[in-house]
Amino acid sequence: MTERPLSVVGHFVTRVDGYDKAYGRTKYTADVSLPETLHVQMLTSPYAHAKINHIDTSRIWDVQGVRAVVTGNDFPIRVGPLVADRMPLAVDKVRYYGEPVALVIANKPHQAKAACNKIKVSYEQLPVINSPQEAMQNESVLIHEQLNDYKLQVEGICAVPNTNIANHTKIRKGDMEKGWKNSDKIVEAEFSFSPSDHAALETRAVRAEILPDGRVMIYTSSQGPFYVKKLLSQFLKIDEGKISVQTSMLGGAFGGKGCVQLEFLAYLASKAVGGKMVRLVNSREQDMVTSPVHIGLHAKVKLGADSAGKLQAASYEFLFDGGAYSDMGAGISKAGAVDCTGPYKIDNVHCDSYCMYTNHPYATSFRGFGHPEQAFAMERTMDMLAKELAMDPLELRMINAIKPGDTTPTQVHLNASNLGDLPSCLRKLKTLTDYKETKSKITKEGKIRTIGISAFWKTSSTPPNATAGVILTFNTDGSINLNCGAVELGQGSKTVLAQILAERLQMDMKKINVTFEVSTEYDPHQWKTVASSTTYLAGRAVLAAADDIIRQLKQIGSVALRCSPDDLNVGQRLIYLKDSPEYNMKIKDVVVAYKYPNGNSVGGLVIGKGSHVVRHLTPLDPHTGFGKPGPQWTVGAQAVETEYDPKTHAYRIIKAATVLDAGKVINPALAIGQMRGGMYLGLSWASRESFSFDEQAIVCNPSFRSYDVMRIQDHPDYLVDFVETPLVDGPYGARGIGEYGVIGMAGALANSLSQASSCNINQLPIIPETIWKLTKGDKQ
Amino acid sequence: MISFDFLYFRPKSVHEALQIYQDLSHEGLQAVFYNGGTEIISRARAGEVQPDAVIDMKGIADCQGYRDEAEWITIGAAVTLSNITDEINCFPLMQRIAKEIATRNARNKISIAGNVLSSLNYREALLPFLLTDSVAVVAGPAGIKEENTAALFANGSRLEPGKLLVQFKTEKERAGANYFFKKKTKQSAVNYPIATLCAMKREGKITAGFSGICTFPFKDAKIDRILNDHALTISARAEEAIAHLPEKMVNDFHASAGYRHFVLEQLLIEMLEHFEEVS
Ligand SMILES: Cc1cc2nc3c(=O)[nH]c(=O)nc-3n(C[C@H](O)[C@H](O)[C@H](O)COP(=O)(O)OP(=O)(O)OC[C@H]3O[C@@H](n4cnc5c(N)ncnc54)[C@H](O)[C@@H]3O)c2cc1C
Repeated sequence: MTERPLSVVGHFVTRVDGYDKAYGRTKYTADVSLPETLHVQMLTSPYAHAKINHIDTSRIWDVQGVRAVVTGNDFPIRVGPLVADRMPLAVDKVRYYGEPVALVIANKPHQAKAACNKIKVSYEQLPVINSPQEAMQNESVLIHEQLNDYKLQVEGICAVPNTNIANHTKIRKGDMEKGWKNSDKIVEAEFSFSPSDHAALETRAVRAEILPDGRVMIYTSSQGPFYVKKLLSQFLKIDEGKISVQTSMLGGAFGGKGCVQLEFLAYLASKAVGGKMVRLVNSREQDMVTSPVHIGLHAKVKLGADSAGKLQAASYEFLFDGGAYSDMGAGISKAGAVDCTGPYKIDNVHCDSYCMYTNHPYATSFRGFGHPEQAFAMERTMDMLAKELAMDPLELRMINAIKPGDTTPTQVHLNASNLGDLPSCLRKLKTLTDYKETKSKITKEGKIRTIGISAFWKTSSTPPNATAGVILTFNTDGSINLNCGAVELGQGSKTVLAQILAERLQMDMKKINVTFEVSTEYDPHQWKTVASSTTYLAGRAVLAAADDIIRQLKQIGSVALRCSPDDLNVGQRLIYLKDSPEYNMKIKDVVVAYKYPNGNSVGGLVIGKGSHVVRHLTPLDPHTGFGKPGPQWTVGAQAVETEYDPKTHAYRIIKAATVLDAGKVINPALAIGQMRGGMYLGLSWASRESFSFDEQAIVCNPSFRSYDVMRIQDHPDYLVDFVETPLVDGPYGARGIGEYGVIGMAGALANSLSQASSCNINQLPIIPETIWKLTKGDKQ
Repeated sequence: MISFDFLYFRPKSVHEALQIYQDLSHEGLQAVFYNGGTEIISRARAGEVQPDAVIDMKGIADCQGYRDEAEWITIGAAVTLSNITDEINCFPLMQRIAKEIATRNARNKISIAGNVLSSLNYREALLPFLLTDSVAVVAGPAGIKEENTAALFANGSRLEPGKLLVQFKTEKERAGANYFFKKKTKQSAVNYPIATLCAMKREGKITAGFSGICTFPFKDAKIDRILNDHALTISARAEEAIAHLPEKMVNDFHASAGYRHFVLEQLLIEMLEHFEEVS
């Protein structure tokens, strides 16, 4: 293609779902209520670890409208994405507070709930594992006694029988002994935080129905409709073609809707009532603890640098708190290991990353997938090292920034395309935040203003065969319908994909119709809408489909315009001769077969198809971690400015900034929005979100009255800027950007407040009491 | 969603409300008085309470509205916190406290009586009535009685079953007194208090009210004596006051007892300094 300025890509385009959302017209899964639908309620466990001696359901029939009850023994099959370790309904024992134990199906929701309360379960409490350290140390309490018999679903997950280890990933790079020897300064620290919630506005919801011919229809608020189909097919032993999964718009997901949980339950419930349509919608409390959560972590980090500040060695121990079942936690522990060093050149790296079983609610993906967690530990240690070296934290990051020619912890060779440009991000961050090397400023009121910074990177932990596909069809007026399996969860993917298509076809955005609903029946397969991979994967598929269309249009055009296809261009809804555009024909006259003046037709329907699959990914070597975990790295730098009151330890977040190497910003407003949303999520988590557990591992705060999230009045000013180092094989050079705003926030916030309070804040959430405890410790 | 059935009544008078309550009791049915419902509904959803009947107080004229008479202000028990923040300007401490409870949406529902009789520890709206020695008008089988607020709610007590709160009467001059108020939460301002301190100064004497630090809101004569003991330094008064709390400090997942101590000590010092400055 000849170079021409981009007219749609790189420009602000109103998001295609914007108006419906602003007017409240968008329908989410639970908004749809069909007559004769039956309602499912879950009975969940009041204990975190207990034997189930007996379940007595006899009294439920006293409640009017009850249709059926399902308990674990009705489907005693272990399911799970990575390790099949979880029965959809507990059998023999419960392993976390809130675990589903039984389902009641009734005509009305309140009848099902009333009946649930009549089920008598006799439990016998077991000792609990209340932290990942305990899980490692206390081998007398096993959460999964039969771990040895569990089926591993993917290569590269290493569960250790007779322990509470769901996965162990090892990274061994370089020569540690040499690394420590070359280090003049060594710092060591421990970090920890509890699991927390995704807190999406829309709680998880599903409807299911089994048609008389055996087809299973699932309507679910999921980030992975095709994944739901795959897992249901595998574990229920139903042909994939007989399962249809449909997803409408999601009201936020943040990774929490990539798990397959309620779908199994809804299927079992429908089956229990002869296949009738059933509806299962999480209450807020259930969404918080019964459905999977954001992972917790206990980490040890040790860094060594020479006197000039060059990193020489790094060692890590990550104990992720995966909760009672491994779900994606096993993958998160791997992802954290793969990028353990953050975006720095370190030749000698040692990392043991574990996903531990505990008696906490189980974890699934959370925006950033192991990286906000890893980055908190690493970025805090970097600041501690800077202090030790008496060096400016930004400077320390600058001199260690990873560059083309360096290798990652798993020894992938990096180049400008697959890495991006961290030094430029750091430089821009400095200007954006007015960062001076000077330390904190003291305000008139005696408050301390400090900027804390962080740098981050992330590759997407896609499976080696992650794919996306696109099908383009035409309407008779020449406008296009774009169908693909990407789910819209608020991130704006569908707008971005339409922009890529409009750009490639040189077509007005208004002539592109995007379907928001995804159906596994008629949309082409897509792995999942996760891992910041949609712009890249589906974007490439859009380009391939657009090229497929252009090829077909030129083919037909060459017949009608009596020339070679190579003589033609497509654009502005025309097919025209490159050298004499006045010889042209309208696309609309071609797309449903071209008709000669005499009435003969040629060509047939023009239908575009395209797909993309990630290339060259390999599983990691179990002993050294050697391997290629993801297609590309996105890098960036962040800052948080706080105003801290040394008297009360309260603080305000004044500013939060992100500079990201986006490769190519396809839609500036959406990209800025993604960064802001990401920063918000990261700050809310770091400053207040956390589950509190009592000694029995019961969650004390499973509701928004007591589970704190950041409110509108707590928002800082958000500053966003981009660097654009093209990803050579990305659509128009674009990289994945969706998750990145979150990653460095906890580190930057903690760095800012650590400096302000002169103590090492190495745990989350950072509430005033956290700092009070630490400063008290310093004094004593 | 509430899964059980219950009866709903909306009486027009206090007398009718009491009658309904009695009739239901005779039938062996448990009834609760109902105002904003933010607590009854939440607890019923969670399966913590399961009343057979609710008696809605919002239709009773005596429980509604507020009257501003020569020397007294009368605030109906069904008045919402939003009504207070919007209208009751002659009771500034009450307005301040109301404004910092929950969110506007919730305050549109939350009533004075519901807050004062809440099953939670906080019951912050009680504090201004305690500090102003207000009169609580309570109705029960034996008729309508005026009671001393502090005595009625001493040590966290609530009303006996079958009694209902009709209104509070506050001397206008006391309601307008100079006050101090500060609420400290775990993090977001909308959270429950880990320590709320309010105080008023009249005729040179400070009286202080507390919420969030013990399992109930209180004022305490002994503590007030300490706070007014000018023989002691401000920080000594603060320390001494804390040593005389009616109960051990709460230690829960919102805040440890140690941190509550730290916060309360600062609040007390700030309050004492505030009144030192203004006088
Ligand atoms: C988001 C949120 C934040 C909150 N934060 C705070 C806070 O910071 N500080 C604080 O103090 N509280 C706080 N609360 C608690 C709130 O004050 C209580 O929920 C209060 O009970 C609500 O009043 P209501 O009118 O809705 O009560 P209802 O649910 O109607 O009743 C509550 C109780 O009072 C009884 N009752 C009501 N009226 C009468 C009457 N006339 N006579 C006798 N008994 C009666 C009821 O039987 C019931 O036991 C918060 C609540 C919410 C929703």
